[in-house]
Parts: sequence; C-alpha cells; structure tokens
Amino acid sequence: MSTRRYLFSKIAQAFLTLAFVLAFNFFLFRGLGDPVSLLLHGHASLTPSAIADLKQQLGLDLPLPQQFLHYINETLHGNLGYSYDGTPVSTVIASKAWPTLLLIGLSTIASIVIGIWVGIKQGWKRGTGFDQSMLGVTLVLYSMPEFWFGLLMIMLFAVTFQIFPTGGMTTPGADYTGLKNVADILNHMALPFFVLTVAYLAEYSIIMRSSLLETLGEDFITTARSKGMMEKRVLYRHAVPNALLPTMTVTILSLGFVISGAITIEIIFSWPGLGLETYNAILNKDYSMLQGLFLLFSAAVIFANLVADLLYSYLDPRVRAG
Amino acid sequence: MLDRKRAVRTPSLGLTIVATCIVMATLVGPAFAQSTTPSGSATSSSGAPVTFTFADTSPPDSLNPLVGYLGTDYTLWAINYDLPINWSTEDFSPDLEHSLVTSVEASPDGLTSTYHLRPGVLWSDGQPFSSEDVAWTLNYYLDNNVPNYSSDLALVDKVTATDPNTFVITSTQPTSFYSGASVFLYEYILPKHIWSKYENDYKGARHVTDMETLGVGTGPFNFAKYVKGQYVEMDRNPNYWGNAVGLTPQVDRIIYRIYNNEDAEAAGLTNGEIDFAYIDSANILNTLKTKPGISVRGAVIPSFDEIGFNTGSAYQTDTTGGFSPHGDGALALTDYRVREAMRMAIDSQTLVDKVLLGYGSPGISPVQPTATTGDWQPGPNDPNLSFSIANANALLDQAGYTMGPDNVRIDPKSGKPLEFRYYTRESDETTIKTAPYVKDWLSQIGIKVDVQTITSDKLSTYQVAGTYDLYDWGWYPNPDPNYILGIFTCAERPPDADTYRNSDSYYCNPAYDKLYKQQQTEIDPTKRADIVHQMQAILWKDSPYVVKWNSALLEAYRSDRWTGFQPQPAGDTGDLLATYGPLSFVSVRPIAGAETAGSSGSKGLSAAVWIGIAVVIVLIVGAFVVGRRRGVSDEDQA
Repeated sequence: MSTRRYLFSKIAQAFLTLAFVLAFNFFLFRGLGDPVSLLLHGHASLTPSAIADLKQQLGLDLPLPQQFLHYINETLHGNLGYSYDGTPVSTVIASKAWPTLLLIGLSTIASIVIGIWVGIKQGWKRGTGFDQSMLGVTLVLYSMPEFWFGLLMIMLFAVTFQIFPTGGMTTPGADYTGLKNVADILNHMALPFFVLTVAYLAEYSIIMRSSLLETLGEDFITTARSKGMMEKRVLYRHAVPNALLPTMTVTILSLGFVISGAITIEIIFSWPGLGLETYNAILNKDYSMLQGLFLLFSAAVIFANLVADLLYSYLDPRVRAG
Repeated sequence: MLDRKRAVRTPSLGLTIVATCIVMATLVGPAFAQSTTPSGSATSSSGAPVTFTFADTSPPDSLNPLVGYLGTDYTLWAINYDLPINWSTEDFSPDLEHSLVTSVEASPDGLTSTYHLRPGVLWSDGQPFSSEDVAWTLNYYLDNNVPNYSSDLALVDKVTATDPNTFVITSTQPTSFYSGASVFLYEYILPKHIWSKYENDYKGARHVTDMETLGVGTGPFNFAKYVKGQYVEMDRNPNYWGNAVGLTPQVDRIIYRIYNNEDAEAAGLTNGEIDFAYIDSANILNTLKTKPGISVRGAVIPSFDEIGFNTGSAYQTDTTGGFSPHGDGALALTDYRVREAMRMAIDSQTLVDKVLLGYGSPGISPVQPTATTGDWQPGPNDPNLSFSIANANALLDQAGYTMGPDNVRIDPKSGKPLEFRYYTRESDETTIKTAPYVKDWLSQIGIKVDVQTITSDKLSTYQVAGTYDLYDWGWYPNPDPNYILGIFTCAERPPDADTYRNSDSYYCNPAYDKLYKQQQTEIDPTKRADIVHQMQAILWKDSPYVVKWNSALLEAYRSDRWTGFQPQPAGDTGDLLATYGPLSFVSVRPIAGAETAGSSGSKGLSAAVWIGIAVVIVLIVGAFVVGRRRGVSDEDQA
C-alpha cells in the first residue's frame, strides 16, 4: 500500500468513526426518553407554554429527521447546546478543559517518562532485586483503588502533616495573583498529581519491560553484542528504540484519554476538570452537557488513534506494507 | 574510560540529588508547609478578611432565584436576598423585628393584606429599596408562573405598591395565607432597577448567571464570585439595613465550599480548611465527634423520608386534573387496609436507631413537628400507633387476605399473591439500608417484596408512568403545611404516563380535597389548624405514605473557633445555621484569638519552595541528558 493511500484510508476511517459517534450521540440521548421530561425531573411543574418554549429552544418540536439535521448543523457550528443552568456547553467545556489538561496531562507525561525509565531499568536488570521490587511496587500501586489511595494521601499530607490542602484548585476567596497564584495551584495539584503519577507507572513500566526483554532476545541484538559493542550502547542505541514501539502506542492512546480526565481523582480532590464535570452532569441529569462531553472525549480518542496509526507507520514501515 | 564514564554519570546524578536536598532544605526550612495569607480587605489582625467557611457536597443548582431549586440554593439566596418576612430563629413564627416588613394589616374578609415596609433600606449597590421592588417581584413571579413560587402565590390576584413603604396583596379568595399571621411568602425580593430589563423576557432572566445582577440584594452578604463546582464567595453588604436594628454582621465574608466526597470534607474540617460542614453519613459524623475542637449535632429540620405506595394509578376513575388510568400497580394496594397493615408492620424507631444511628426521630405525618401550624399526632390510644406484627396480621386476616403457599397472602379480589416491587435509590444509602428491615417485617405479615435499587431519575420515570408498587424517597417541605398537603390532592396525580405532577402516591380522596381547599381559605388560624389536623388523620388512616422518620440535618463545626450560632428552632436540636434565613450568618463570630479557616490562609508550600523544586527538576533532567550525551560521545570516540 502506498504511503498516500495508507494515510488517506486512516484519515477516512477516523472521520467515519467520528461521524458514527456524532450520530450515535444523538440517538443515545433520545433513547433515554423525552429530553424535556428528563430535564424536568426533580423540578416543579412547568406550565405548558414553558415546556413548549423549552422544546423549541432545544429543537425538539421538529420531526426526528429534522431534529437530526438541526443537531448535526449546530454541532458542526460549535453549538453544543446549553447546560441545565443556562450556560453554553462549549463555554463550560472550554473553562474546564485546562484544569484537566494541566493535572491529567502533566501526571500522564510524568507517568510515561518515569514508567518507561523504570521499565528500561527493570528489563535491563531482569531478575535483580531492583526488577523484582519495582515490579511489586508498581503493581501494588496500579492495583490500588485510586479513591482509596487518594484518601490515604489526604489523611497523611492534608490532615496529619497539614502540608497540602484537601482539594480544589485554588484557595477559596484568596484572589492570589502572579507567583502566589501559581504556587497556590501547585499546592492544590500536588496530591492528585502524585496519586495519578504513581498509580499509572506500572501501565508503562511493565509494557516497556516486557517489550525490552523481547527485543533483547532478537538476532540484531546478538549481532550487536558479537561485534563487541558496549552493553549500554546496545541498550540505548539498538534495544530501547525498537522496544519503544509498543509502548508508544499505549502512550499515545493514553494521551487521547487525557481530556476525559480522571473522574475518581477529580471527585476525591474536587479538581474542577472535565472528569468532575462529567460526574456532576450525570448527577444533575444534564444531558446536553453529557452529549457535548462524550463527543469531545470520543473525538480525542479517535484523534489519538489516528496519530498512533500514522506515527507507527512512519516508525515501522512494515505496518504500511501489511 | 569505562570507569570514568560510569563515574561521570552516576555520581553526578547522585551529587545533584544531594545538592538538591541541601538547596531544598535551605529553601524549605521555615517555609516548609507554610501558610500564605490571602490578600483582601484588611479587617482582621492578620490583615485578611474575617471569613466564615461552611461546606457541603451539594453544589448549587443555580444562584438565579428563577432557576435553582435545591436546598443549597435556598440557603444561599437567604443570605443574599430577603423574604418580605423572616422566620424567627426561635420557632419559625414571623419575625417582624428583623424583617423588611414591619407590620401587616389584613382585611376582615381575608381578601386584602396591607404590608408596611421598613423605611430607609438600601440595596447593596446603594439604590433605595421600596415597595415598588416588592410589587414588581411578586407580580413577575405571578405573571410568569415561576415554578418555585407558584404554589405560594396561587391565591394572589395582584400586588400593588401604594406608597414607597406600603404594598397591598389582593387575593382571589378569602385566605389567611397573606395575613402575616404566619410566614407564608417564601419569595425572595429582587431589585426592580436591575431585573426590570427582563420584564418581557422571562427566558432571558432564567439565563442570568452574572454576579453583577445576582449579587445585588438586601441581605447581609452578597454574591461576589462563583467558581463553579468549587466555591461561592459572598461579601458583606456595605448598606445592610440590619445594622440599624442590631443585626451587625460579625464577619467580612462567607464562603460556601463545595466538596465532592464527604471523607475529604471531614478532612477539611479536621485540618481547619473549613469551619462548618454539613454531612450526610452518620458514621462520618460520629468519627468527627471524637476529634478535638469539633462539635456535632443532628439538627431537626422540616424534612422526612417515606415509603410510598402506588395507591391505584391503574384503577382510579376520578378524572380530576385530566387524569386517566395508567401504569400497572398492584390492585391490592388500592385497599387502604393493606397499606395500613404495612404501616403497622414497619418499626420507625428501629429504622432510626439502626439506619440513622439515632439521628432523626420516628415519623408520623408528612406535616413536620416544626411546621408553623397543624403539627399532629394520633391519639395515645390509637390502636394502630405502635409497631405490631400481630395487629397487622389480624387486620389482614380480617380483611380477607388469607395466607397462601410460601407464607404469602392472597388478594381475594384478584386472586394474586401479595408480591410487590419495592424501589430504593442508589443515591441515598439510607433507602438501601432500610430495605432489608422492611422486607423482613413484611414477610412476617405474608407480604413479599422484590427490592430493586435504581436511580432517582428512573424511579421518577416509574412514578409518572405508574409502574411501581412501593418506593423509598423523601421531602423537604416548607414550614407552612400547605405545600406538602397539596401533593396528596387528586389534581396533583400525573394525568398520564408522560406528564409530571407532584403526587408520587396517586392518592385521591374528594373528602380530603375539600378539606384542602377549606384550609386555604380559612382565615381563623385555629380553625385552619383544625382542618389541617383532620387532613392528617385521613392520611394516617389511608396510609399513602409510611413516614419512616423525621430527618436530621447532620452538622459538624469547629466549636473551638466559632460561636454565636442561632439555632432554628431554638434549643439543642435546631439547625445551627438557620438556613431558612440569614440571622445565624449575621451573628456567627470567631472566638477571640482563635484561628479560623479564613485567617489561617491557604495550606501548602511557598512560591520560593516551588521555584526550588522546579530548579531541582531542571538540574536532574539536565544532568541526565548531559550524562547520556557524554556517554554516547565517549563510546563513539572509543
């Protein structure tokens, strides 16, 4: 398959998947019931005219095919509807995206970097005390429920030692500016960042370790060694670059999930990101918000898949040929 | 060479880390875990505004009084705005001494009420407050049938400002609701000069979220900032009218902090980030009780939980409110004797002890003991008052429900066993914990229930569709019983499977409806209370609800730091923050010399420490990269 054809097919696949998600989103939320009735649950009765207004506002007074076209048209123009409190969904998403990118993005990158480094060391020193102990530690951290680990950290660092705050992103009412504001955000971010980083180390270290072990058994490694190449050079110039390929796929896919946040951690630490927004939208039965969030999350994962496909084909031409 | 390469990279990293630790130790030293004090208006000795921080796990639905509907919204509105008449913190009676309205005169025919306002009141933005504001607000709520207020204003014809300090409410029927004898107008008064631009744009008014609009009120503290999902900040009203009548706020700022789980909230109270916490879990409250400096209480509030029955959505023929039969509830539940027997077989005291861990009290009636009128108890000799499996069995025997196979009774009308669906709600742990007790008790009287836990949303859908038998839910009614009694009227039944109304039991009794209308138009308070008592006696007998308990509001606070709370109602079981009004927020004050959440500032490392950490990270990464390049370069040379 030519490179151009390969690229075209991957991009086309991504767009088709996105189109499917777009349509699926529409029918999923209508399948849950009449959106107006769902919005009204828990509220006092609205007058018939108010319900009619609401239906018109949401485009629900139109026949289903027209509603679908209306929905597609509005979505393509960036109008994702209104949250239950009247705020445009796109505005809420924009305001919540950066806390998520900051916390989940940075902790994911930290997990990836440290995890890969640990995995390389483990694979290289297979069977040693370091390998065995790191395998145990990372697996224990990975298996630990995040909410429990998070609460332990709160009890330890926020209650016992009183070093960091229990949650939130800034100190309420403080109105800091400049460096103080940055420090305030970092203080609030410290515990969730730590929990997320160490909890997901194993995801990368184990893959890197096993991938490296597999690579170290390849003929070209034996050849390199037989040429008298120094061990570190064999490792960093020959083994690691080849072993990174499967890790890279996991890494890029993980980055695709960054935008969806870490719901449990954002809840435990009251971090105002998209994960917490998703949780609140579910609690508040805010279906417009959920529809917008699902679309964004799906788009991010589809995009990450596309990047992984393209990058993989660039790094390993055999993929294109196959 | 090999040794040198090793020696270069490894020790340099080690040295870097050691050097880092030294730098860190130097930087951190006294600054480690230091508290930085927030900036703001300097009114306390530390220079920070005196701030009272209370917290809960419930974010406001909306700060807009045309939109929100949660208890949290009402609590915050009560601080920002004023009702015409406040409830007394003592006993929920009208507190004219501490209200915008100073006196009310009702006409003998019960059709006109004249309200006199406190002169000289200003809005928080400095504009004068007048009867025009009250009349405009009430008429706006009335004209737009605003859901939060439509029930209270149901009998209002119009509201007229007759002079700057007087307004008149004219009602469509004689009634005591607006006479001022009790607090009935649960309506927050909005500034006309701010909101009148939405006179003909109700939809636009519902979309208002900006603090410039919402933050103008006559209350002691006004909305200054809302960081969605994080906190609401309310600053002291510089023009508060209460200063003139001895209601001088003791703090500069109120912060409502939102947590997303109660463990973190409890941790925040323990480490001093917050001063006051509302808690749902009795277990967590009991844990907090053991912490030094923290006091707790289970405050009695007008709220209850019930096990409700589908009393006949599929079988009723009364078409009031456009009702048509729908759903598939069990036929046996249309017989009040089956419901009454189930009520007799459910032990409220055990549920309070085992599920609420003693917080709360056994329930009798939907009209709560703290209601402003009409509190009712069945007579002490009422044979059905006590929990009695034997009496419940006798009642069912007498009604012809004979015991069938597997110890399940048979309905003589339908020939079907008494097997019912029973829904609990996943969002309320107490409903789930209640179910095993109820299931066991009912099995002892020959009734089998299939317990299913579902979302509140799903249950609401089932209730509208009439596809349920039993469920567990609750209400938080107004202090006046009119609203909660109204949900049992025929017109409140969902008329079809798709239309929401307030009734979740489908109870319909024309005799009860007649009394409901009578109490609305009875001017004499004593006679009205009598009618309300009669209605509750009917509900007790017909049992559309088994009131499990009168709920408690679980509160924990830093008693080593704060004092001056005004419980509502007065006493050891009142709500400390008196969330039906602002008065407790006005009087709460820090204990002299005590640290508070506001004065202790933010927890964490200082900016200097973070800069140090950043430098260390850069050094480590730099050393790693340089070491790697040197290593590779040396290899290449080799």
